[in-house]
Amino acid sequence: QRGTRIQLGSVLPANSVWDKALKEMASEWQRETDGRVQLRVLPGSVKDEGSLARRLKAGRPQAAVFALPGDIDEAFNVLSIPFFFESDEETFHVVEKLTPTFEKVLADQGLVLLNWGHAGWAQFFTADRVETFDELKRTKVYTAAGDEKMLQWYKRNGFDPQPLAVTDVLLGLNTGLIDAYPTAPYVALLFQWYDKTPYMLDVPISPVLGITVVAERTWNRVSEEDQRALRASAKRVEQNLFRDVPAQDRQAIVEMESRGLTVVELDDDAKASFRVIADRLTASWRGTMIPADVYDHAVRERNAFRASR
Amino acid sequence: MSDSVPAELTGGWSPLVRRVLRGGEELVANLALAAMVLLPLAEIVVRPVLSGGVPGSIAFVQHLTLWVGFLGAALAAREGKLIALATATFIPEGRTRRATAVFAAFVGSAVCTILATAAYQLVLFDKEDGTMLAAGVPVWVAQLVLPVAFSVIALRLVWRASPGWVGRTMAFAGVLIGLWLGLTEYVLDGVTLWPLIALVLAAAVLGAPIFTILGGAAVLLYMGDGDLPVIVAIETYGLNIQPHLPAIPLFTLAGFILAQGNASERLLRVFRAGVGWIPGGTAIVCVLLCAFFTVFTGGSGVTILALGGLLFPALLKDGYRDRFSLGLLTASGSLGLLFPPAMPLILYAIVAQVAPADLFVAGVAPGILLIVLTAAWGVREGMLTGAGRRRFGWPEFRAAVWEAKWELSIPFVVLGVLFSGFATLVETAAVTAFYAALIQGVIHRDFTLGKGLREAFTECVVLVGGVLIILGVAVGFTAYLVDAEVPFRLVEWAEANIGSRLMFLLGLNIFLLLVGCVMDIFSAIFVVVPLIVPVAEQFGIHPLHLGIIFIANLELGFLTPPVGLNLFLASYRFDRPLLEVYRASVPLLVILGFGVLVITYVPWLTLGLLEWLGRI
Ligand code: NA
Ligand code: NA
Repeated sequence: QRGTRIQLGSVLPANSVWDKALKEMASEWQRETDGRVQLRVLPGSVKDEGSLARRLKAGRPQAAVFALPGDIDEAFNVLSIPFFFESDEETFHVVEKLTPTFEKVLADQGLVLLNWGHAGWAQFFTADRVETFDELKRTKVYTAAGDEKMLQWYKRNGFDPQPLAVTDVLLGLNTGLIDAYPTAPYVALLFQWYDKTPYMLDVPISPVLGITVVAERTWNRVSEEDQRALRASAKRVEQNLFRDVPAQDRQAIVEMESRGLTVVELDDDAKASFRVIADRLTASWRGTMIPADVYDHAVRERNAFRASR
Repeated sequence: MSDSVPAELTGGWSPLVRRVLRGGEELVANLALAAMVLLPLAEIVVRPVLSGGVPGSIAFVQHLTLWVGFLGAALAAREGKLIALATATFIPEGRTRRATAVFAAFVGSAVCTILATAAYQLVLFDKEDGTMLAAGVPVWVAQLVLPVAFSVIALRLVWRASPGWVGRTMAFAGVLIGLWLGLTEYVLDGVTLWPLIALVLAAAVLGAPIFTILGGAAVLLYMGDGDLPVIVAIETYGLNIQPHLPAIPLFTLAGFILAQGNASERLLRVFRAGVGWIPGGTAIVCVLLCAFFTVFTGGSGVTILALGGLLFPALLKDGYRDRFSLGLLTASGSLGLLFPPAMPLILYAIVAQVAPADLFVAGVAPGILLIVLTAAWGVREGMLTGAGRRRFGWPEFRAAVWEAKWELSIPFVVLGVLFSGFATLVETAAVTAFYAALIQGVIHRDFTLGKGLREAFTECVVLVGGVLIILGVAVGFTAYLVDAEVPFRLVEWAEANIGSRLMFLLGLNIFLLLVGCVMDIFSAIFVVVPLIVPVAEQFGIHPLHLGIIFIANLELGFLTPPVGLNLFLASYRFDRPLLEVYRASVPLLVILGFGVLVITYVPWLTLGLLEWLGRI
């Protein structure tokens, strides 16, 4: 009997750490189910995640990775609030507590959550040295065209956002159309954006967390026993990824520093005043970009985690 | 088309109502294009004042491209201008011709109807999800143009199938079959596909539009795998909202506005005064002028149609031989494709995900090489025949440059704006179109603004529509190849069978020459680039170098018998038998072939300037 074939689409670049982890998962699935489940990973098979969500609905591919799951449901926006989380530990704690909520919103769309992925922490890269919020607000900061809510958030909080297509970032940096952008260090290195922005503010903005999902109707064709094995494998891959990605970011920073990047470290006072303003800014997400109950739940869990420390 | 129908058969449609409908259709398309010019201009002006610029403008401009493209395709279908293989023109007039036309329309309208149902499904998806475009406009409203345009095109294919109602009724069966295939889920799951694919190919050879081959293959292949045709519509929509795509209609519009005015006459005078003293001077003038126009109009063959009537008599009058002149103009119709901001460069940048600005720089030296080689052929002819030369005179040169100063400033304006820090690629394209209209319509007053611009806009919309509908379904076909893991297998095959970089490049040259024979440059970019990029990466070819090799090679394809586009256009424009055009173009095919080999095997030619500028 022919096995269940599952194709997994993503916008991830081929041979990135995340893509490699998924391919590792594919061979584990093959092995552990004796070929009853065959996962084919197709990195870069679509150009944007909006098309990927539509394709998933059309039935091919049957599984997908979303690096920006906020496009699927607003509940996921809680993960990308600027300055909401301070560390991976804190993030993982909240993610774990909110997982039932996420699973439910996905189930409403006929999707099963397999595991989480990590592409590093977004940091601000700037052309001029930036140490305070006021200085940050004076930069011409890149924001993704079409992300109207992020744009409004920047504007409401007194930033000077410049909506551009991601393909125009390099041109924009070269010509001065933008002089700051938030991104993970690995991405800044990969696309050579850091050339024009020799400063990195050492205040993590938000983790770039993604999800792997599979269509429910495909998943239901897999026996329960196999499902358990696949879930365990997906979890192992997630753990490896969460271990390897921070290392990849650190390595990228070292590499960029050797080519002239300066990491701007803040002293404790500066950090504290940054934090005060940041907390005020994050509150404006509640009810506008994230369902209020999800936001409140996340704040409760995050504060509980901080208190336990 | 309506001329052949007796008035009583058009029912109650008074000529006035028909005129209003026809004019209304053009008006909507032209207004969409006008908005594409004005929104980015507003963005440049507003950005320094208002943080964040015009709300949603980038998203709106992207979706306006979708509207311009598909309304344009519907207009092209109305005028019978959808790009088709020219093979149908070989069929003898008479009964056979009439029968094949009905068959082609039957298959074409069936494919087009399936695509319409697929696009309708896409609209339902986004309506259900409630995705928003910007400023309160839902995405599905913008997407509506897709099913509407595909339906209109299907009906127009039926209408044009035959002058009589019997032929049309037979062709209309295609629409019904298309509806049945498109609306019955999983109807082709596991069905043997090759007879259907063969039917689609046969229809294309017999004159069905090219988009029905690629679109037909895409929907049939997916349906045969047990998938829904909506996948093709998702990919079509995904392409049309690519951020750099709006630059293409805008630069093309600039080209049509220049062609509408007297820019070509003024530039002809400059080039004549500047290089007319060289042996073969008029030939060089033709090469330069054609290259200048092709940069803006793309490799669509518009250059031959627009300038042929001006340049061919000029060459003959100056004593150049007939066959030489015919060959030169046929080849010149695609020179210029390597200079910014030519359409193929932008498309390659989109597909291969490289920075368009870098590809622009990469194309300069190879582009000059091809022009110099063609011009050298003209010099040789001038020496052999002693064709008329003129004396160089400063006063005439100065006067000519002064008269054409505005047109001559365009390349500087384009590059200046692009690298100034005020504008993106799309905004630069909008500035270029606006600037061209200002020069031709206001400064020189070559045409009355309303009428002249309306004509330029309509011609642009029809051309862009004809191209974008092919690209739109070509991405669906490519998506199938990716889903079938063809690129992956190709890399594996190349690793096992191709020994060296040199062998790969040679194989690539031959392969692309063959592709150029059977495919237009635009579909080739969308179908072939995704397959080649990973393999080339394996052999250490720089993606920018690959892009230039790719486009230069496909330029040759325009001249390669039997189906090179330039050959057909020249045959049509100069009213010469195709075989005579073939013979006249052979020397230039050899010369440009040599140039392509140099570009392929001397990477420095492409990458040297970029390295010197510190961009790579
Ligand atoms: Na954003
Ligand atoms: Na853009």
